[in-house]
Amino acid sequence: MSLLEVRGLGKRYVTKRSFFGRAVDRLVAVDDVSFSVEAGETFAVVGESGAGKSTTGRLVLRLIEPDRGSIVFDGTDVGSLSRRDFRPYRRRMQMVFQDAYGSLDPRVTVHDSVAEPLYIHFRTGRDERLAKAAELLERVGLGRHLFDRYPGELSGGQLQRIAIARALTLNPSLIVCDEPVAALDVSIRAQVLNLMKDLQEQLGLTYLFISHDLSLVEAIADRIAVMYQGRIVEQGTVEEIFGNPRDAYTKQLLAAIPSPVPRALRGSPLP
Amino acid sequence: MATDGPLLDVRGLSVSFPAPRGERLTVASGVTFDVGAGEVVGLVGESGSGKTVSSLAISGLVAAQGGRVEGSARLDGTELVGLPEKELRQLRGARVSMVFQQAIRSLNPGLTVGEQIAETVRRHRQVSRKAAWDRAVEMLDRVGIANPSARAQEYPHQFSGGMCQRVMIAMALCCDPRLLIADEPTTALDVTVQRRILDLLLELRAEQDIAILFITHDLGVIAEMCDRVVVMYAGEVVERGTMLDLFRRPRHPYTQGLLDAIPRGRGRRLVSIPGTVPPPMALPSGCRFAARCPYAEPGRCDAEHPPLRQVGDGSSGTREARCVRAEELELSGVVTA
Amino acid sequence: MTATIPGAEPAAVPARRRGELVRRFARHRLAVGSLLFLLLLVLVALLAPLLAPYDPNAQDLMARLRAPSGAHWLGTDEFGRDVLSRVMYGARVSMVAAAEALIVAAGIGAPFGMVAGFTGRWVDGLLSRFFDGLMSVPALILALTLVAVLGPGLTNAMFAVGVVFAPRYFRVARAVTLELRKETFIEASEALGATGTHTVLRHIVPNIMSPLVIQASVLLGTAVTAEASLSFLGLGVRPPQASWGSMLSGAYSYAADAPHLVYVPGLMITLTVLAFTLAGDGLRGALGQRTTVVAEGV
Repeated sequence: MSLLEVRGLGKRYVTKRSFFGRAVDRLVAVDDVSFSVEAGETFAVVGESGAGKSTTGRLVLRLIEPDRGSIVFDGTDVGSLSRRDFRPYRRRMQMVFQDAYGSLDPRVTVHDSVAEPLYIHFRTGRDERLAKAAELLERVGLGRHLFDRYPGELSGGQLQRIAIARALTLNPSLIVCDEPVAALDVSIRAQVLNLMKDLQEQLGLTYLFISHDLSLVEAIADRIAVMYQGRIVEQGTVEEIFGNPRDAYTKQLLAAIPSPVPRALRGSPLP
Repeated sequence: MATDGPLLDVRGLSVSFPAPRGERLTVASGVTFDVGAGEVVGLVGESGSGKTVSSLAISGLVAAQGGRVEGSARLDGTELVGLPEKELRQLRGARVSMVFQQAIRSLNPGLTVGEQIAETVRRHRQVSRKAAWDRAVEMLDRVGIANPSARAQEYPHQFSGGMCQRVMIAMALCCDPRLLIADEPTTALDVTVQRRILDLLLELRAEQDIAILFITHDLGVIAEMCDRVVVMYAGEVVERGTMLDLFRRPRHPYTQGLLDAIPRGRGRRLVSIPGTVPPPMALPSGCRFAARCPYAEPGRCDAEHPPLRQVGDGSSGTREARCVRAEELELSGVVTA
Repeated sequence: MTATIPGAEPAAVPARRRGELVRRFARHRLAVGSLLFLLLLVLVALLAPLLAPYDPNAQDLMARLRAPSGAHWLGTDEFGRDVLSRVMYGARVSMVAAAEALIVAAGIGAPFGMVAGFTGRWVDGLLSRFFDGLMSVPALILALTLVAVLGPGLTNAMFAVGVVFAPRYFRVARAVTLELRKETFIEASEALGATGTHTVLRHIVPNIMSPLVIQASVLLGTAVTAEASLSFLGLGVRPPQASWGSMLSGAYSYAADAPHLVYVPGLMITLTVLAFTLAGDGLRGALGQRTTVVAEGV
């Protein structure tokens, strides 16, 4: 059984209303999206801006309420639960945002931020909370001298590590990662991705990885869904998508990636 | 390449800003490189490397923020550093133009794109309104905007991100500048749109013989666009050479690190550069990259600040690196057998 | 009356240490001076019984309408009471009155503003309409009506002033909360499974404090004027108790014979309102807020 199974997910936004409040124009953000994510794998959703990949991630976590479709998480149809009954499932489904700085309250120290989820769900005492948070912050490689800093005092790479630690506080199974390294510098990007890979192996995490960067996805994902204008146009393993893309849009997307291997050097061995 | 010296010749350019407590923060120091006529030179670096501030210094745009520029930057023999604002303004748009990452923010939302381009034309050339407008339409056509005479009458918000960037390029090129400074022009765009903009820039370069200083953090874009590359780290140039030389065999460990950090294919673990860029107020006295460098030797690399110096035989143009161990290291490029 | 909404953007980086905040505030010379003036005023108000040379209500009909002299530094009023003593006691009344109005205004406006901004939809629609309605009634008429219902007396009058000011607090709190609602960390809080109450108390309240504090400085100044206006109209303090407004009111008929009776309380009101406004500007600068708030009278 898959950890996450999404069937016929859809979301439309009303963009224009008539004088009487009737919807006259709608924008289809996500249209009939279905996929399943196996426990322990990295499932990537790729596409360009406006393709609906971020909305898909938020629909899965019910940060946006879907109009239609079902979301089955670990055997339970979490899409049909009331918001109150859904809350316990939030512990097991976490999110890491692209804007790590923005995802942390600027007035809360990073140590307290990472400890906060324990208070939210279990009303854990402060000392116990902070101890657990310290353990996680060390695990993601943040030095102890940085624990009492505020988000504004740390670098992008450090902040994304903290955001990851925060997502791990409740021992989740699934983490939705929305462009987690897109805002980071190249040299820092690899650090964070390697950390995510290590954590996945150690903790058996499942990632729903949302990205616009195909070369990145090729390196870290197991399976890929390509989205275009709200729909999944093609999905398959990394080998299938990169080795033998069938959809015209996927082909176009792959051809557009700038290659770090200069044209003149392609295919030639090192002289 | 021009025989009588490069089009843009930057020597020992330094930029500093006032910091609290009366000190000055040097964000770029001793930046030296050149761009030949019709050449595409890539300026690569991460945030804090000083690449953007150097380019702004060249076009005289740092003074407004209290920045002080020292050194020399000559465009076609004209010294740009210390040039009065009035003369700089004459130069900008006419002989050197810039395009930025956020195209939509560089456009005036209250004027049609045609008016904005025509205005730029009239600022630099004594032509009639009609002629300026015709030029605007012609430029929009040249940058690949369909139905240009109708689109010229539209406002910036009616254009998509990629189309806005085309408008910016049209505006930048309307007075036939010799040099275009493009600062991360495609970073905010989707890959398929980026591809079209890059192709457009290469086409225009071939048609108009325009030189491009291409500022980016994306080595993939560099590999597709550039003839030569300047790599910057922590405010200074650490390596420069032709693109092929640099990608085939980098001479500075940082360049190798950047190349390694690009994801390339399945299953390969990404190679990361540990640590972070030192901030301008806490630069080490030795090599600025030493703390993150896998090849750093105590006593040598942290002893004194290494100069940018000629390395290798230099058979294919200038090859310089700022590393004391440049000759002894066997660094690997992107192509492995 | 126009709405004033200070910088809806929360300060990006909190002043890490209090020292940093103080240092930034200290750069505003006028604000520091204003703050010192206000502190002095509070001190005088607190210590009035010790500092005042005379009983503020003791009449001396033999020494009516005296100009300032060695015995009475600021002269005497129409009943021969010492003006300096009355100004000192009047400061007490003004401060307490302003504080009351502030507490009522913030206590009603801020929580509803946050709820409206955070919840949105029909709750926001309803609350916004209610407070807009309240705001559209001329402030003085609203205050007079409330006083008529509650009965005269300073406490009731200042409660009325607080109600009049509540819509401004509502607007500021709502606007800042709406801005914050778009921040990723609010969405992140929801993604962690936090309830709305937790998110508001933990993440909204601390982040909207700065604009609310700035609004408070403006409101305090305006409340001093409001107290004076209402007391001037005979709706505030009851004779013989001294307040700046009532002193001004009493002095009105003698302005030609004893101008000092007008100048002294008038000057105190002006200086105090100015000091609150300038101190607020300094605070805004120190907290990193941008928009200027204009003080208004009732």
